[in-house]
Amino acid sequence: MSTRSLINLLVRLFPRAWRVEYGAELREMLGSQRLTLSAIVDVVRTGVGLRLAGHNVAWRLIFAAATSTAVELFAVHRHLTDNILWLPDTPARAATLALLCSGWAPATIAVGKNVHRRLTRVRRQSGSVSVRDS
Amino acid sequence: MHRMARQGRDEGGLARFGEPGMLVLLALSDGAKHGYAITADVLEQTGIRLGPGTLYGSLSKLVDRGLVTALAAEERRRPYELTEAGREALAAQVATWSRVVATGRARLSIA
Repeated sequence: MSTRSLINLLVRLFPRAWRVEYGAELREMLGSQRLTLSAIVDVVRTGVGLRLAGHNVAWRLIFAAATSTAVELFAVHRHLTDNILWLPDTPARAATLALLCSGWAPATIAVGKNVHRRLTRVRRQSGSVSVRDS
Repeated sequence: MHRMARQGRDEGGLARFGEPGMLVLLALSDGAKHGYAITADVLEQTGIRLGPGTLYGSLSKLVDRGLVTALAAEERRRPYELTEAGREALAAQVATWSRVVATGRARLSIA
């Protein structure tokens, strides 16, 4: 594999929107220096990290929806309920209901954090929030 | 009023000494620089070598947070400069770590 191909492959690890903004510069920098193993590891780590971070909220929502659907189908199949939600009036129904709702707590927290981060960024850009120290 | 220390990063994304974002802000504090010049400045001033992925990952986060802004490209390289919010964030970090360094120097009797 040529150096140019390797660089292209490394840059493609980053999310598409990120590549549009910074891909050319990263490609230029990688091409202008010796491509050491540590540089390759550094790029792979950052690229995969940004990709995972970008999908965090979406994947949590998908996971929560998939979990709820699977538990709902199981509950209907086992005649625990005929409805989407049910009263937790027996241990089996309570456990199944808890399992159905379990995926939504982390998904809701992730969405809340995402909204908070975006609002903070907007407020900071409009000058109404100053950056605080740690 | 003192704030409780947190393991994670603050809203500006800067919390740990040696945090790449802070090193990038430090490199930009005396004027706009492009990626290669930022890496060279950080290496010269701190002895820390920023990898290319770390550098551009940090730059993109700092731009997203409004701490750094990209200027018009010169040839194929695009310089970046600190925003006012970035200068505030760096000043806050420097103030915090100045107290840490002063205490360390005093307690270790370093001149």
